[in-house]
Order: sequence, then structure tokens, then C-alpha cells
Amino acid sequence: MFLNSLSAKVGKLLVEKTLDNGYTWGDVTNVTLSGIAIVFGMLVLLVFIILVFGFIMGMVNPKNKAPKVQKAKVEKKKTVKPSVASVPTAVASDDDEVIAVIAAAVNAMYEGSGKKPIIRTIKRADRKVGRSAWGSAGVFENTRAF
Amino acid sequence: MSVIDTIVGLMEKSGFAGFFQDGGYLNLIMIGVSCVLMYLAIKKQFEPLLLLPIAFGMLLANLPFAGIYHSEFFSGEALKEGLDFGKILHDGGLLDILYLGVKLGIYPPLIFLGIGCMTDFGPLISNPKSFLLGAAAQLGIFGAFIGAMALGMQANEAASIGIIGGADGPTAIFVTSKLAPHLLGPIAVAAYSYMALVPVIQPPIMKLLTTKKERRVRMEQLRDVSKTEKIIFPILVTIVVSLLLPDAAVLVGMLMLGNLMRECGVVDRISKTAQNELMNIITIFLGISVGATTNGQTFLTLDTIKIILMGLAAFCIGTAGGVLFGKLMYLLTGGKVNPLIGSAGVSAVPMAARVSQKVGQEADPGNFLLMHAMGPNVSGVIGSAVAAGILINMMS
Repeated sequence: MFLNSLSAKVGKLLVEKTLDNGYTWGDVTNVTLSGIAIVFGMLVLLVFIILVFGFIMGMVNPKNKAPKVQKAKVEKKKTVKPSVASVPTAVASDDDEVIAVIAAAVNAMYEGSGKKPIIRTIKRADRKVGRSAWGSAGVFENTRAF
Repeated sequence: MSVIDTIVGLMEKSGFAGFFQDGGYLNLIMIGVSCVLMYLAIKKQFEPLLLLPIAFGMLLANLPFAGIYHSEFFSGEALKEGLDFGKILHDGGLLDILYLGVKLGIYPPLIFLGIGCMTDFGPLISNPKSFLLGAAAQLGIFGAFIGAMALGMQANEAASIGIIGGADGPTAIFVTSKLAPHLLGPIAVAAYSYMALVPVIQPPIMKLLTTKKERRVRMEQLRDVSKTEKIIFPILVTIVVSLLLPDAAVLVGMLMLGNLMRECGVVDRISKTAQNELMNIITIFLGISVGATTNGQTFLTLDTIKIILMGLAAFCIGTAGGVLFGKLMYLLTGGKVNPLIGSAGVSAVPMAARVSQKVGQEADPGNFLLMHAMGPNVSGVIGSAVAAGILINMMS
């Protein structure tokens, strides 16, 4: 009983007490609650419309997914994009250019054959063992079959 | 006339004499404030694209007798009787004319056009639940409204202060120019300063309201959104929102037009112009005219301090609202939604999304929340435009 009358008094006070600017807390809550309600309501409506819309789009285009997967697999076998894997040498500013040149040279070798190579690693050849690259090329040139 | 008379006459008309007039010292203080803001913009890089023109506009408007801006044309009597456009055009200085773009509500919608051209609504379309996070973050607007009313401000002023919580500069300027034009200066400065401070203000609140486990949630890959969907989305939103809330039509409409121009792919030229040249031109004009409205009488008052404090409160409440709603979604979806993306619902694109990404990465270095956070981020832009429409509707 006591609580009832107390809360009724507090409620009345809150709603009817005027603030410095001449408005009551009732006015303030009015604006706030209706504002929040409308913002939420509007956006919930938009969510609903988009969901329905996405659903309709999904129904209209169900075939998109299946052929896409197959296409990707077939493409992988024939035309693979050339990509340069990590180079395990020390960091030097020349490395990027060297990689680029090597990649270009390798691509040029395979040009016209329809296949595209993937460069997995580029390692500096160990010069201490065997001849230099030029030397090996020279030997190969001179010793290959006619 | 003797030489001395001429010199004295010249000195009386100089700006220095203006400082000794009634209230002239306030202009001097404002020039000082503008220099501080220019320092913040240039040296500390606080949103320089806007803060620098605003600061310089402030400087130009507070040079006595320069006649670049006449605040009396736009305030006081003029507000009650309606603006005397003939007088403005006839006697006005450069900034009076440029300010008309703000007063008549031309610049903010055009900025929204540019923003729409730069926005990708894909993450939002593929995960429409993000819309709700954008709505939740607009709680800051209403929280600040309550606070401002409690501090004794008029309803229209309180609404303009509240809109700072939307974290959207053009929206804040649009609403303020319609509801409380005399507060445009301080509100614009507060809005853009807080937008620059998003990476500083948000993380502590986000960390306070979430557990480490919640922050580590990895979200599912977003589905691909088809071109058709991306084209129909802006048209649909414009129609729905504008029919339900005509006051929001101009902001939402321009935002969606920009987006449509970007997505349809057949108007590349004008899309590029809207994002670049048009945005830059309007930013310059908007900045200096907004800066010009800050004259000493209205800026150096207790109201400005209240605005700055309320603006901060608005931001914090908005962030908290978004994160808490994110937590709710986390609970309701059984742990599929990371609450951190909720804070991106404040419409500071893309800064707030980047903040979500950063805080998420602190908890789990491999977690990429950026795309997921862009959904609430862009929905916050729409949400704040809707809130702006509601406030304008209710207060006028």
C-alpha cells in the first residue's frame, strides 16, 4: 500500500515536474522513446525487406553455385596463374628486381606453349660446387646431341 | 585635412580599433581559438580536411570590420522574421553568400552524395542483422538529448546537441542549421573533433563492456552479394525510408543516389566527380562557412562547454549502446556475432570499423573483423540520417 502510493507520487512528480526550460520529464521521455522506437522500427523494416529480397534473388538464381565450382576446378588444371613463392635469401633491395626478371624469363620460355608455370622457390645456386651458370650453359651447348 | 587626421581616421577604421568596441575583445579570443584549432589540424592532424577550413573561417569571421561575414543577417531578428535574402545578397561578404549553402541545407546532402559513391553496402546486404547494430548505436543521440534537456536547454537545441552522437558531420550540420542555427559553430567543431577522436574514445568503452572470450569470436564468411542486389538496394531503401519519413528523404536519397551511381557501373565519370571534385569543393565551402558562424558572443559561453560535454557523452553512450546490443546478438545467435562490431554502428565511416578491427586483433591476431564491422558502420549512416529526420520532424 505504502509502496503503491509512493511510486504513484514519484511517477507523478517525474512526469509533471517542469525542468528549467519549461518542459517536463514526461515530454522528454515521450520524445526519446518515440524517437528510438521509430529508428529501430524503420531499420527492422529494412532488415525484413532485404531478407525477403535476398531470398527472392536466391530463388531466381539457384544455379549460380554449382557450375562455378566446376569451372574453378577445370581452370586450375589448364591455366594456373603464375605466382612467385617466398625467396629464402637474405633481404636485399635487388631481390625484388631479380625475382621479376627471373619470372619474366621463365614466362617467356613458356610463351606459346599454352601452359603457365608456377614459380615455387628461387634459390641462389651454390657456385662453389661445379661450374658457374654461364659455364654450364657453354658445356651444354657444346655437348648436346645434333 | 592634415596628415595626422588622415592617419587617425585610418586607424579608427582598422581592425585593431574594432577590438576596443563593445564585445570586441571576444573577437580577439576567437582569433586565438582559431589559431589553436589550426595547430591541431596541421600539427596533430585532427581531421584536417574539415578542421582547417573551419578554423580559418573562424579567423576570417572574427576580424573586425572585414565584412566577410555578418552574423546579424542570420540570427536574432532575422530568425524570427525570416531571412532577408535581398540584403544578404546585396550587402553580404563572401562567407555570407557561401553560408547560404549551409542555411538552405544544400551542402550536407551533397556531401552525402559523395559519401554514397564511396560506400560499399555489400557487407550490410549480406548480413542484414547489422542494421540493428546501426540502430542501437543511435541511442547516443537520444541519451545526449535527455542530458541536454536536463541541463536546461531548449528542445530544439537539445536535439541538435544530441545529433552529435550520430558521429556524422553532415547530418549534425543539417539538423543544427534547421533547428538551432545559433549553435552551428560549436556543434560543428564538437562533432568533427569527436569524429577525429573515435580511435581514442571507443576502445576503452569496448573493452569495458565485453569479455575477452566475446572479443575473440570469429564470424562466418559473408556471402557474395550479386550486382543486381547492390543496384536494387539503394533504390529500395530510398523509397521505403522516404515514404515513411519524408524529413529524412533528402539525406537518405542523396546517399543512395551516390551509391547507385557507384554500383550501376554505367556512370563512372560522374561517380568519380562526386567522390572527388564535388566532395572537395563542398568540403571547402562547408568548412569555411561553418567556421564563420563561430562569433565570440555565442561561442565563448557556458553553452559551448555544455555542448562539448554532452557531445562526449553522446559518443560514449552510442558506442556503449552498439556494443551492448552486439552482446545481445552474441547471446541470441549462440556466439556467432562478435560484440565488438556493435561499436562500429556510430557512423564514422570507416574509422569506427577500423577501431573494431584493431580491438578484435588485440584479442586474437588472426581475426579479421573489418568487413563484418563495415555492415553496422554503413547502417549507422542510414540510422543517423533517419534519426535526423525524426528529430527535425518532432521539433519543427
